[in-house]
Amino acid sequence: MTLLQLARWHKLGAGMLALGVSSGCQGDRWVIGSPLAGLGDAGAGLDASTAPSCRIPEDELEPAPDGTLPGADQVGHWSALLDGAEASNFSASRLELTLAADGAGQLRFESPNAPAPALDGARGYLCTTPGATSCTPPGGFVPGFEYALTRVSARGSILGFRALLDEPWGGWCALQTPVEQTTPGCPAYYDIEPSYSAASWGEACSVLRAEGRVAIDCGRLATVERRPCICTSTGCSAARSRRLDVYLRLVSPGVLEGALWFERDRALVVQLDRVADTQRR
Amino acid sequence: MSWRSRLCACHPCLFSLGLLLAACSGNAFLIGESNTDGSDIDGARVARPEPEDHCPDLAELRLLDNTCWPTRHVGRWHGFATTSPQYHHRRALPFEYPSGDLLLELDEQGRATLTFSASPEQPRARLDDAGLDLDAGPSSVAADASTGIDGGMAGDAGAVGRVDAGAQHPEDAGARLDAGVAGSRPALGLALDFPYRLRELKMSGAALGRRPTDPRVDFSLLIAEPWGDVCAASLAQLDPELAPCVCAADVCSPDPGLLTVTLSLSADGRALRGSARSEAPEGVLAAGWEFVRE
Repeated sequence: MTLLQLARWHKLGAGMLALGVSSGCQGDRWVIGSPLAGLGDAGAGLDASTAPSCRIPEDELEPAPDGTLPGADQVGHWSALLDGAEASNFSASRLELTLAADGAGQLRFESPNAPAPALDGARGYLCTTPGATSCTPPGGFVPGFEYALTRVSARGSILGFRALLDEPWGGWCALQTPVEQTTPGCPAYYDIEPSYSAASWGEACSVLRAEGRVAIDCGRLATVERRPCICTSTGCSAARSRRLDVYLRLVSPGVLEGALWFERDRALVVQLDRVADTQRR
Repeated sequence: MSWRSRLCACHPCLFSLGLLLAACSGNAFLIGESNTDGSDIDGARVARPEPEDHCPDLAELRLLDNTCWPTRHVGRWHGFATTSPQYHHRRALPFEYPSGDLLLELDEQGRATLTFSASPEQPRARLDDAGLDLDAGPSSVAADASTGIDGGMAGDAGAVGRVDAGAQHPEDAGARLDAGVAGSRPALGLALDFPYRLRELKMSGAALGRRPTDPRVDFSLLIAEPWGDVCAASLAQLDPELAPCVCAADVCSPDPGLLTVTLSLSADGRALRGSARSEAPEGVLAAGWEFVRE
């Protein structure tokens, strides 16, 4: 390599470094590599020699959970006071669980106000600037929302169920118009927003598309960045991939105990007490 | 163009270098760990050793150093099997874990046991009510997959036999796989109410210098551990198909089948989660386990 070549490479490296520095910053800067642009794999598009990484459809059917319907000692209304270091990640002081004999169930982190229904699909829902982290407290649940439990099953004293964490966005997703997305070499799929390669956050927000910079409502951008919807050609609904599987054990009559593992190494330990119908608010 | 002028044309890279230097905290441009003690020997600068990783993984060795022990795992934990609650032991059909409490006890002296219990809500049967032979021995055994509850077992003197009517085996709707009964005759599967000794108890997972906060704990247990003495003493009476013993010549010992467990502590130290694996020629079964600190 000649010195001239070396100098050119250094020049390129300087440019890359400047790009890397700016793209790594938040605030009123461009954020390169939004989820929609990456299609699930940040490497796609960066190396033309590799095969395209196609978006994998979610909602693959899972086998039904082992076990039986909840027993009479598990059916009913349960309530836990949240305490400990992790409780603050849920922005609620109490957790409420309701289980029916047919396996239906609801989970709700108590809040004075349930979230208002989504009425305007063009704006965001439950999310604000500067992005998807604003959508929920770190625990991942929307306070006040009543989650409909899935995969409720029991095995002896052990109770299991699943909460779908994007469920609160179901109504908002239903208001979206599916947008066909194409990636060379991949089957077409549908999403709620045309793809973009970068997002800019500030008092006004915008995204960078092939045709240039396009303004977007900041709340909508934050909601889009969360990716709470799954779409077909005919409509959109709440995604089911963001979920929490919870296991509780009936440790004594009227007491369920377990942990909500809301991150890989973070758990909220809960002890739920049975609440008589007459005590329910 | 001279090489000097060519190099000058590369001013953006010099600018970038300037940015990097501006981001540095010290006066010198140091690569790697900063040296805080600055020891010099004969004029040669000697790198300070890495933060001491003196805590061994093995708990029995950690006990010898009070800077490594006790770890945050010490305590009493109540848990249960969650996902795929099955395990292998000798037979092709897997067993199902008892659906009651898993009591994990690690004390400050390094004693560590795990006890499986029947579901307290399930009906329990007394073997002595069934007119079975009672004598001394381990308190319980689990029934096997193909025969259901093994009613031929002898009960522990004075012990309550337990039938843990858990979920049915998906491939054999008629068999109760986690049915534990009190008895002293060896049988396959986990024994109920027996404090299994944790083997190869290890802690790991924290960064160098922070090993006392290791989040991960690994151990194994010998599924047939309760039957060590019985296997050794009752060679002639054992049914090789049903007994958890391995016999060679004139000696029998417990079947070497293990549960190999890995658990990780939550950040707040109040919960453990992980898996228990068991191997068989048919493959490895990995069940989810969770515990909450008492």
